[in-house]
Amino acid sequence: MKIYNRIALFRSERGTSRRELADAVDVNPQTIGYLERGDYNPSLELALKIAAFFDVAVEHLFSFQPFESVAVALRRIDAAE
Amino acid sequence: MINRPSPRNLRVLPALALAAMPAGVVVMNVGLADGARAIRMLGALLFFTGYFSAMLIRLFGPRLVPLIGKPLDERELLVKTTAYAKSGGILTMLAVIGCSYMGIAALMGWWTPTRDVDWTYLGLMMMGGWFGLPVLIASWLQPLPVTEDEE
Repeated sequence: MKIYNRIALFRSERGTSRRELADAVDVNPQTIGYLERGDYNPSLELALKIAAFFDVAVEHLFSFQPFESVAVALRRIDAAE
Repeated sequence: MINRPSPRNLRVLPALALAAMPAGVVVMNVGLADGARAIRMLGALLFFTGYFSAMLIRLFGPRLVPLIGKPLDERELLVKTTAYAKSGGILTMLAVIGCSYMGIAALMGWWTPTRDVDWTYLGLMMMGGWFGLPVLIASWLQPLPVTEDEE
């Protein structure tokens, strides 16, 4: 089953490179690239390590459902207000 | 900070090395039947090119062996275990098929390995397969590397 993630978004927001994240969670930088591209599903341990690195709950980073884009989320918030 | 090397993909190159070994044996046997020394030498050259390529190609393929200070991460371990499990299964199947063939060939009068050199080349081919097949499978299991453009 495909697991969607927002690693690239969080990484971009933090200004963190793939190599820095990879070193922090002790994997190959290519593994971070494969995760972001959806070519690899992480173990629970790796998912928790990445969530801890960004200091967010794991479900904010990984989901079985596609995440809505930032633009869609902003439009939804605007509509609600 | 652990500075791990980027994974590398070879895709079809290990298949060429693996195919060169049985092709070399066939050419050598053709040379033996014809009595042509040049053809036998060509077969041997083809075989050993494939054999040594199968051994060396693992240095340039997906990482299957951890290095000091550069352990395999969970994805690389998954690729390694899957590649070795699949190649072990394929080599076992080939050994079973080979033994079955020899059982039938002995009754039908077909070619079977009878000389010491035949068994030597069969053994070397199994070794070459053991070295090269996991690299071939790992190359296909591993997605293409993520480029810097995707950064």
